Amino acid sequence: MPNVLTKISGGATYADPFLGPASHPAQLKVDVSALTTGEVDAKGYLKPNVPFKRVGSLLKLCDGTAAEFVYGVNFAAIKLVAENPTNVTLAADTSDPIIAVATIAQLQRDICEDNLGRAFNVNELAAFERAGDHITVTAT
Amino acid sequence: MPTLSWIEQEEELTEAALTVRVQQLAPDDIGGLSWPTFAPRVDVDTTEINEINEIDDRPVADRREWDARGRLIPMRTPDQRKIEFIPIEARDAIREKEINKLSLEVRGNQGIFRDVIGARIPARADRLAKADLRRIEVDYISAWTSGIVTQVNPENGETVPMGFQFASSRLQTAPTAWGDVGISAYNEFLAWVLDGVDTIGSAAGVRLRRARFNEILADAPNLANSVKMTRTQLEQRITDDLAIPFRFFVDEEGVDTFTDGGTVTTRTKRWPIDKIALVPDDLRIASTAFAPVVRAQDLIAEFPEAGIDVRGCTLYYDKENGGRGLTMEMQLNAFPVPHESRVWVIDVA
Repeated sequence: MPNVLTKISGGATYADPFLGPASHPAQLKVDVSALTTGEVDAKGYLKPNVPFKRVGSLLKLCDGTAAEFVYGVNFAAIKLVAENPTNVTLAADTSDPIIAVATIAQLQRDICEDNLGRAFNVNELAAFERAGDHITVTAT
Repeated sequence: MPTLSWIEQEEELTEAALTVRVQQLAPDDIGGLSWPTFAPRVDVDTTEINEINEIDDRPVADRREWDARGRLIPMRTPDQRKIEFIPIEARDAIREKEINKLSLEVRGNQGIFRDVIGARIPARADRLAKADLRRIEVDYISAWTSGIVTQVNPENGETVPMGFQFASSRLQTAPTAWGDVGISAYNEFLAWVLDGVDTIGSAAGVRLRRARFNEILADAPNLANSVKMTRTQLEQRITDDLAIPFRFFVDEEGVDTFTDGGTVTTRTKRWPIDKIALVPDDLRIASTAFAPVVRAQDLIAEFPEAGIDVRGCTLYYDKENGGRGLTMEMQLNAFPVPHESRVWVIDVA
């Protein structure tokens, strides 16, 4: 066998998005089949501070349904699926693991969007503003 | 017909005795090798090593309002390299014909035979150990100047390179050769050194071949009456220009490398002709990882009082053919690990 070198590039890590206390955790199942690579990273981790609504006892992404509001955001990155997921493999996942979300918190928006690698979409932004939501997001 | 079965019964010729002997050789071959200075030994526990690079991380906090939180300082992770390396080994063999020839020379006198052949073996062991150490020398210089360590197949000379994946800014190529007409090698050199000092911190000098030094000297400003500076004066001039002690490490040492699986070697200068490298102020450009040799562990278990270095050159015998042949193998588990943050090299051809 020859000499072998494997390089692991360094870089930024996920940052803590909570400006104030994050509390009142709730443990619920998350609908993985509704997630995309905008919420799950290449290592198979759910990115931090993904905003979820609650439909029954299941956490789902905000999708523009009337009157939906953000129920909670996950505290930190959580391992959900195998490495290198795609939208196709996520849509086919029926595992529905339990995660913990903060239901009362204040989020720093720029850190959240850096963690997600994308901006909050219009459905999420609207959901943060609706009655029933106890999570505030700073102005950007 | 004498055989070599008796060798391991001779106290001074056992594997343990010769291992202890070669481990007491000067690691720099009495000034002939530079790796202990530029890439000193670091003991590791395995031939699979992790190296974590330093990160240049200088965040600035912000002011906050009363009753509000301040700036989050996010974590950054450094680059990491996982290296798996293979052993260095030199070998020698004594065969029946050599034994037979010697036996005839001493007219069958077993005592003289043993004295003569016995005197040769330690010297052969020394030679093997020095060959192992020269491999460290060649490899760390290659890692430093090109970011590559090349494995050469001892059976046929085939090569397999392994790259350290340095950032390209660390290993530069001059857009125009410094020796070309119209180019001031001295000015180009100073500009490159200044960039390097800004990047890696203070420097002790540069390492280069004499031909490259002569180009820089030729283009350096003259003294009064158009008198050329000497090397000492040039070093002092650059020391004054940079405000740091500076010297030229001119390297013209050579080693004998094998180009195929045969026995022919070529005397090759160990430092590449067109490379100039900035030397950090503490001279340390790399570490040489020394991992344990399993056979040394066996010797230590058998001779715990011998003082064997489990990570040093280790000799073992391989008797063959009913004692008619003896192969001596000298193994060393060592590999250079350059520190990328200290690499600043330019190819000026």
